[in-house]
Amino acid sequence: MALIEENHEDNSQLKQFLTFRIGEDIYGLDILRVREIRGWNKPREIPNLPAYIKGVIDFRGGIVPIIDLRLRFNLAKANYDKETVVILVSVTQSDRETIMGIVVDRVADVMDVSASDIKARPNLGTKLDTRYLPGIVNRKDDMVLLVDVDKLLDPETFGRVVEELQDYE
Amino acid sequence: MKSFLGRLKVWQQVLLVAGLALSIGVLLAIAQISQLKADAERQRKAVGGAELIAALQPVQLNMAVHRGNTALVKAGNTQSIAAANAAADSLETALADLGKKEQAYPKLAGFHERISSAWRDLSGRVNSLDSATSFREHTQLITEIRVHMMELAQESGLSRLPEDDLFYLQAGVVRGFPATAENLGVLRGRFSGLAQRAFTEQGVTAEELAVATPLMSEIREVNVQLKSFSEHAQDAAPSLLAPYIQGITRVIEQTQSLIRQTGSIQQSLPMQSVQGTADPQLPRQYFSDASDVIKTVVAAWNDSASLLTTELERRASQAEQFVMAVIAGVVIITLLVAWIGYSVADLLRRNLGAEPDELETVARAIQGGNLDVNIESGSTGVYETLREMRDQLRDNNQRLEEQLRSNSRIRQAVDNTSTSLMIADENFNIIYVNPANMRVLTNQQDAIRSRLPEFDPATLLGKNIDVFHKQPSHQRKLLSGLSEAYSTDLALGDARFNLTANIIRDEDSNDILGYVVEWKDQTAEVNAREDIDRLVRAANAGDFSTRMDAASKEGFYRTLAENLNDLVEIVDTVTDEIRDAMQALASGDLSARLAVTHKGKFGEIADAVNDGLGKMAGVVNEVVEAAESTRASSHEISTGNRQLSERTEKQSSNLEETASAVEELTSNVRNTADNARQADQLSAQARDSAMAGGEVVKDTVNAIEEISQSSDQIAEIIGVIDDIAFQTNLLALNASVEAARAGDQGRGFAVVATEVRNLAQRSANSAREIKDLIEDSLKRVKTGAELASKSGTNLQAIIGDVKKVSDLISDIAAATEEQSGGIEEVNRAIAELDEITQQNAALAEEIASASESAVENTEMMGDALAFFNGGGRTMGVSARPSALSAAPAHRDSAPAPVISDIGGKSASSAVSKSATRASAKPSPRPAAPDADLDDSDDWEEF
Repeated sequence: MALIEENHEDNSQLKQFLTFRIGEDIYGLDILRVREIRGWNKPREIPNLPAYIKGVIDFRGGIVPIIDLRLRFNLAKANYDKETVVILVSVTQSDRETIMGIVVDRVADVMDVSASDIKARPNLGTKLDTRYLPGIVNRKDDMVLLVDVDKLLDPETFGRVVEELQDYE
Repeated sequence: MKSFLGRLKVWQQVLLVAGLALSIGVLLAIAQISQLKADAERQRKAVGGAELIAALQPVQLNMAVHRGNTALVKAGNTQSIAAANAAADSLETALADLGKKEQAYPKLAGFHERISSAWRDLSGRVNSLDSATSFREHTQLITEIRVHMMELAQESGLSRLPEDDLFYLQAGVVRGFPATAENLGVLRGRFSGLAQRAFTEQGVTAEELAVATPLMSEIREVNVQLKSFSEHAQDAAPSLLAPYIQGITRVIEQTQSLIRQTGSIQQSLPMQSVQGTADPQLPRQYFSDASDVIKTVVAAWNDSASLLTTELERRASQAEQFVMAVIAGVVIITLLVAWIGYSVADLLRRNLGAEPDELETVARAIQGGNLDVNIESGSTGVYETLREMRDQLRDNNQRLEEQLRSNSRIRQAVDNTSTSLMIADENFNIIYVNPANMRVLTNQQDAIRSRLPEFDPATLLGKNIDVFHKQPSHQRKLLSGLSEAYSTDLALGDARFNLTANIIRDEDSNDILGYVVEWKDQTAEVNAREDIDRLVRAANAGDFSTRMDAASKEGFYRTLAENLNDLVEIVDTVTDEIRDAMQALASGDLSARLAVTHKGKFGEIADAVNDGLGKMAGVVNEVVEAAESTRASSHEISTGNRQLSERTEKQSSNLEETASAVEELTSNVRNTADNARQADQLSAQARDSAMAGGEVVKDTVNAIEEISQSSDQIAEIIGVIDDIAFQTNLLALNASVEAARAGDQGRGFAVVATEVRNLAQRSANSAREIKDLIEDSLKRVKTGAELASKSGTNLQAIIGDVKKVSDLISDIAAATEEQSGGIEEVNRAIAELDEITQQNAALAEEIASASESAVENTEMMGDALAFFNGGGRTMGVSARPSALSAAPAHRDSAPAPVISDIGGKSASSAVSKSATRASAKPSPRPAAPDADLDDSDDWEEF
């Protein structure tokens, strides 16, 4: 992370985020963590896993778990439609990189943000555990919550899951 | 003996004779049967002999074969051992067979044991014997067998058979064939052995060969015997013994040939032997030739033996069957004779019914007149006939006695009867005159003498009946030809007789025995009848003045005459009175009456006539009154008739009005019908238009549906575009991600990706807009479709309604047609009514004229009744003047209204009618009615 930020600082002051929607809320994601954006396809279901893990898919030869962010954020369940999108992101934990997929309602845009525009994270949050929300970007009409995927996708849990999946495989 | 036979009854005697005859017959039959049975047994025994001989044959033959083979073995031919053993075995078998056969005929048994032991002895020793001894001993046994054959033939009676055919057959079987076979066998053995020696060092001489000569002569002898057997057999039974005869012929031929062969060998062999030219095959050849001949002999022998056995068997069973048949015949004949004897005895017993001496006793008693002799009933035949004869005689006697008594009774009855009878014999001589007849003839003797002067009743008996007749021959012919009673009247002077004659015939032969004549004196009766006849004739002619002369009659006829005179008197009186009363009635006087003093029917007649006259008077009065009331009624009818006429006219005018109203109604209804028809056509057109509208709407709906489908397709296409935009967006995003990762090198690419993303988003937005638009238009189209289909439904409803309207209008049109028809009927009915009214008017006129003539008739009746006024003595007469005076008053008033009521024309016609009737029917009455008619003419003029 530090390396990326450093790169950004080196090359420009701009950082790029991929924005997406869950319900009415817009979230942003560091674009460098994104590996691919896919349309929703029903993954292979695995028994005895938490409900927010919808299953696994094959991604470039590896097994990748698919997490429904709505369930992770404890939001109301939404139907999957043809604009539902899976974003495959790379998660780093203890110098180990893992690929995971997150299901979002809509993918919105690529957003260029200068570092100065990033506000600190809010102190209060009723709906969210704010540890994985490093900051907020205000825009003309709306507000984008930036998401730290390393924290959001609880690496220990998912790591174990991934290990188990690899064993299973 | 004779007394014994005399004591027996006749049927017992018959049975005795039959029994004796039968027993003699049975004894003879038994003797015959035993003879036949012996014959049958003899035959059976002969069968046994033949069978045993047949069983001995293989023993002999096998013995011979064993002998020959043993000889060959002894001569060094070891090959023949097997043949010898085989022969020995066959011999054993043949012996065993013989043993079995002997068991079946124990009487002929014994030889088997003997020959068996001899054979055992020989077969035990045969190996140690030399050739010649063996040959000899074998030959001895064979000879023994042959001898035994002949013994068997002797013992079993075969050689004593009486039948020629069987005798000559057995001779061949027992003697001929065995001898020939044996001799040939010996010849074969000896001669072939000697011939064999010709080929050894020992050689053979002509002397040695001459050994065969006696054998050959023996064979020839036997041949001669066989020949004679065959000739005899040919004579006895050529067809039955044909195989036997043929066999003998064959045997003789072959043995002759063999003998010739042997002879030539005898001559040539010694020389050839010396010269060494002898054929070494010769002995073997000879042996085989001889064997062939023996085979022929054996075959003939076998055939003959089996023929003999079969034939004997057949005859034996035939004989046995014959015995059985004879026994059965004897039994049947015995039974038949017994039955015939019994039948004859029974027939005799039944025909006589009793023993002859008893019959004689009874016959003599009847002849002597003793009809009470004791004869038992229930018997048959002569005895029963005698009994019936006796009974019949007794009955006849009784009948004769009864007849005598009845004759005496009848004679006395005839003597004492009041009927006068005369009886003549078949020659018409008077043989009997009963006292009544004598009285009649004595009473009338004076009258009779006036005709027959010689007549005297006292001397009548014995005279011929011809004394009463002038033409006796005619009388005789008449009488003798009678078939039933003949009655005639006879007048002798003043005397009148009625005679009834009849023939007396023999009851059985129907011959004429005599004649009976019944005399009735009818003189007084005839006179009275003539008087009555006269009186009745006069009365029939209506003349009651004649009377009978009673004074000259006596007794019954006098009383009759007086009574008849009284009767005529009474009838005369009554008829006079009736005549008077009727004459008064004819002159119109209803007051005349008869005297009421008559009795019985005459009194009733008087009462009836008086009653009738009285009632007639009453009726005349009533009729007068009724005529009056009739006239009044006629007046009322005339009045009613006028009113009826008026009403009829009114009705007629009403009917005319009705008719015109109905015509108007008819034209109205016709208009309605036309209108209804037009309305019907219009409604049909409306319905067609509505249907066309419905079709258009349907097309519209279809078009809208097609639009809707196209819109759906467009929406789908837009969905695809939207998808493509989304995918493009995703691709652009991924491109952006890659560009970002590429850092500065990717910046240009990122810009492009952004542009692409913008384009994708724009196209997605455009697609979304188009989609909204299309959805909107789809909604509108749907609305349009709904509206169209609703208008279609409405149109359908309109069509239905129009159809209903059309139907209703059609109904109206039909109803109007019917109305039109109905009105026409009403029209017709009115026309009929009109006609009926016309007829009513005519009828009213006729009634008017009829009532007029009724008045007329009433008047005429009144006139007729006026005739009875002349008497003026009774109650009816007192009422009559008032009725008569009232009548003219009615006549004045009654006709006037009638004429005015009916009107000029009808009145005059009615009047003229009555006038013509009055003139056409002139009354048969005289003056008074004429005056009345004149009166009515006056009224007409008025």
